[in-house]
Amino acid sequence: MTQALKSSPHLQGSNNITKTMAYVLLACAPAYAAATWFFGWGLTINIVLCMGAALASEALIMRIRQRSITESLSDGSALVTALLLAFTIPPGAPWWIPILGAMLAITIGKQVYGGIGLNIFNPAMVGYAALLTAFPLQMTGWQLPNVLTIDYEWFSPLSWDAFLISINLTFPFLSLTQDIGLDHEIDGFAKATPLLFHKLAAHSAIAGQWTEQASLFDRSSDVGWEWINLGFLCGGLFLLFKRIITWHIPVSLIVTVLALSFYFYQPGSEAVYGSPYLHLFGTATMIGAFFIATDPVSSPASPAGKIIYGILLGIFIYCIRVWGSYLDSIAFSVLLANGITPLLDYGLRPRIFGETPRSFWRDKLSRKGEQA
Amino acid sequence: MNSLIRLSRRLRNQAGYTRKTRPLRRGITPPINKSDSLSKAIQKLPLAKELVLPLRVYQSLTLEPVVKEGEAVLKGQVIASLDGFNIHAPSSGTVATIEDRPYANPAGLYAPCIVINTDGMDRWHPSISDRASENFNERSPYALIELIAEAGITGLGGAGFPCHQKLHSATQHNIDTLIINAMECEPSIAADEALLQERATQVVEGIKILQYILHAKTCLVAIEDSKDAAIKQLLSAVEGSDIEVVILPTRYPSGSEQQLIKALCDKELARGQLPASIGVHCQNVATSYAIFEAICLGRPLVSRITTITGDALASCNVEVLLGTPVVDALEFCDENALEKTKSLIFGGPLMGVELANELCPVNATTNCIIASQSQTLLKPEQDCIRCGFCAQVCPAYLLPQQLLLASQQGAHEQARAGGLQDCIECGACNYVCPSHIPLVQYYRAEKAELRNLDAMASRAQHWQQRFENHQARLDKQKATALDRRSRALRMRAKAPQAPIKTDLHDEQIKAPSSATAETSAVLSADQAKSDIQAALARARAKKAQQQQSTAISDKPHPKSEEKE
Repeated sequence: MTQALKSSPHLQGSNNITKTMAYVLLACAPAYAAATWFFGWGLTINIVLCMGAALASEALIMRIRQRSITESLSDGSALVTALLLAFTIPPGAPWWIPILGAMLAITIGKQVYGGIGLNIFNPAMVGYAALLTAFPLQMTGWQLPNVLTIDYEWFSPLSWDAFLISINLTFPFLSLTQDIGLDHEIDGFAKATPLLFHKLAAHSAIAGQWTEQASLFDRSSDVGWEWINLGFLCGGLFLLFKRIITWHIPVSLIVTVLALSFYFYQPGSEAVYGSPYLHLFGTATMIGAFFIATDPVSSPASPAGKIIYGILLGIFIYCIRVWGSYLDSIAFSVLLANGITPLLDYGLRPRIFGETPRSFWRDKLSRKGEQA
Repeated sequence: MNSLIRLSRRLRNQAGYTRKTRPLRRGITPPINKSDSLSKAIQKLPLAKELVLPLRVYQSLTLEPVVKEGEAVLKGQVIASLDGFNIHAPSSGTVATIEDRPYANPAGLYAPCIVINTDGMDRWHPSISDRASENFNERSPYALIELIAEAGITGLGGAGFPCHQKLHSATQHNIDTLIINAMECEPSIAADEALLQERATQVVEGIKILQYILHAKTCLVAIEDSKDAAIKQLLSAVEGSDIEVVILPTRYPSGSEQQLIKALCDKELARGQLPASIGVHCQNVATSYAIFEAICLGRPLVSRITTITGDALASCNVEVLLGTPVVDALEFCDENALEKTKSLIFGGPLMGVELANELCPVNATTNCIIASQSQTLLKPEQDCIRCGFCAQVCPAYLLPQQLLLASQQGAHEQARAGGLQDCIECGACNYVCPSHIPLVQYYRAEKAELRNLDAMASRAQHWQQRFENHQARLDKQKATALDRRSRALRMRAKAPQAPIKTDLHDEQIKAPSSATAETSAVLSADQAKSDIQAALARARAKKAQQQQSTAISDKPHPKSEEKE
């Protein structure tokens, strides 16, 4: 009967990493549905390419590191990284963009630090930032809506033709579009992000077609982004409900962004700042707040640290977005804030059971009270 | 759904919800797993052939046997004793031997035990009926505490701290709240629940005795809302008394003393702080029952109620004599239990101790025996993904993921500052960890490391102090020698002329000049004699002091090793 004695506890719950990651993947479903509904199959193609490349590079590195390939692939963390990266790559980007991005995310974003749980920076954002700085043209290809050449009455983004066009955009050498009678001068039907449109409108002569009152339900208008952001919001609330994430980071981040945009916004003027509504639902704020900033590995552990992290992130996001020259700012803000995480982890800890607020602040080590 | 169930319970047991409580928000809700054993009444375990009673009762408290090998004993007769605290023979028979036997401890160690061969008669010692008294009010609280000590009652809930010591230290303080812990929040353990279902009136009698001893104004019995039958019995038993039943949500570890006090009194105890210091005293229901038996029936603590469960046998609650080897208890439930059992645990699945030997005797703190067919299968450990689930459930408000990092990296001061020593080892973090990291085991190792460091630091400080004292003595000696030498030289300087050397150092290195060699030799011979005597005296004093100080400084060390 005797074997090596184990100390308590002898009972484990049913949680595992795969389940946790599956919840995150599931939480992306509403946003995925919205993006597909409005923008067609481009995102799906990106997701497939990213996930394939992520799994392949993870397997390769596990092979090199002589670890169990099945264990690390089955935990699903590579899939989450790939999915989040795929959301940030413009639909219709050439095939090597998502593949390269996913490979970079997994290798230099995660595995060089020692794999799951040890990376300093958010892998998906490392991949995105690398792509954005190396291939700015392809990565900002959220083209302007070409409403003059594409008639939406016969051209649904979910149709077979649209699928062929998406495939053709990703793999230009296949030249599938000629079969359906479109010349391949059409090099995009993905729509501009409202933010880009806004920036362009502010800086150029194109009249400000984007209005703050844009309708949510009009499929033919260029507002799919609001639905995608709503999808991310729903998914984020699901994660909160499931206690996969805590409220600290999303709430502090969104409140900070809202506060800054309220402070700087001048209604009626065409200034660069943009309305609070635009900042919340016209940009990548929602995916950033609920899915990217809350990555547990690269964010602080203590509640106080999380709140500071969220506030810093909100400030970074707003500043880079408004005064920076890049399209959106989630990736760079997150990477910057990731760098601060170890500092936030070092000194901050919550009040321990039995500590009075006074003793907590005054001196953490010398406690008053009787010693047993 | 959960809230609906809670609401229906609330409506049924309204009496228990009158008090404003702050139930545990953190913690976990593992499957309760108690209905199997509770479906049957408490059974009496048949008498074992051999009863083994460890002399070590609580950590370093080891009793002296008062019986000899071959002596006949009766049930309830004192067989070992120390300072008025006794162990009694659980049944009648003869003392077979007093030797080292395995007992329940995490390391699988052996301890001196009294082994009794039972005669099957189970005859009570005649003094039992004399001691019984219906009216405890006639005695003084101190007399009652003495009786409790004589009955050998230890805490039957958790650590097994001797009850009389706890009560005695409580009487030094002003206790206004007596909390009776009937939470039994760990899964699988149903001993207290079974006890309340069948013997609630006796338990309440015991509580009244405690109330009388402590003069507590408020007396609360805390119980989980999932124990419907027990609550019903308890509510009818306390009717007409000023004992209040408080029903708390079912959540682990809400029965932990600190957490329970927080829930009922909204006060948090710091590490090492005694509940008595804030006017609270906690006792377990099973302890109250033992107190009732000791005071009202005169029976010492010779048996307890234990849940026997696990997938290797049919679960049940039994009344078992202390000292019964586990194997007898297992075979009572299932004849083939021993062959099927791969792992044996004393206590619950979250805080229990795994046994190294199936011959370990049941002791006073054995509230549950888990016999499982598989070895406790812990899933392979993966890397921490810092998901923070552990921090969400930690009842001590720690950051387990950070503590794990500090423990693994050997960052001792960081672990200390993070509050590692406040960890109550409840295992909630372990339970929710998606990476299946045995966090508590890392913490135990790190806690031991911190204790070692503390012990080393105090030892180092002790020796540093000794060294400094020694150095000071040397300096003083040097100064007096110098003084004496210079005085002698000055005296001699009046007769012959000689250079006065004040530097002792030079004096020691260089040989004295030939002119003064003879006189100084005579002088130094005299001096040497007195010096030797003085040195001897000093050495004797030093030795005595050393013995005393090592006796003092060594005292905490065996204790700390004990805890490990």
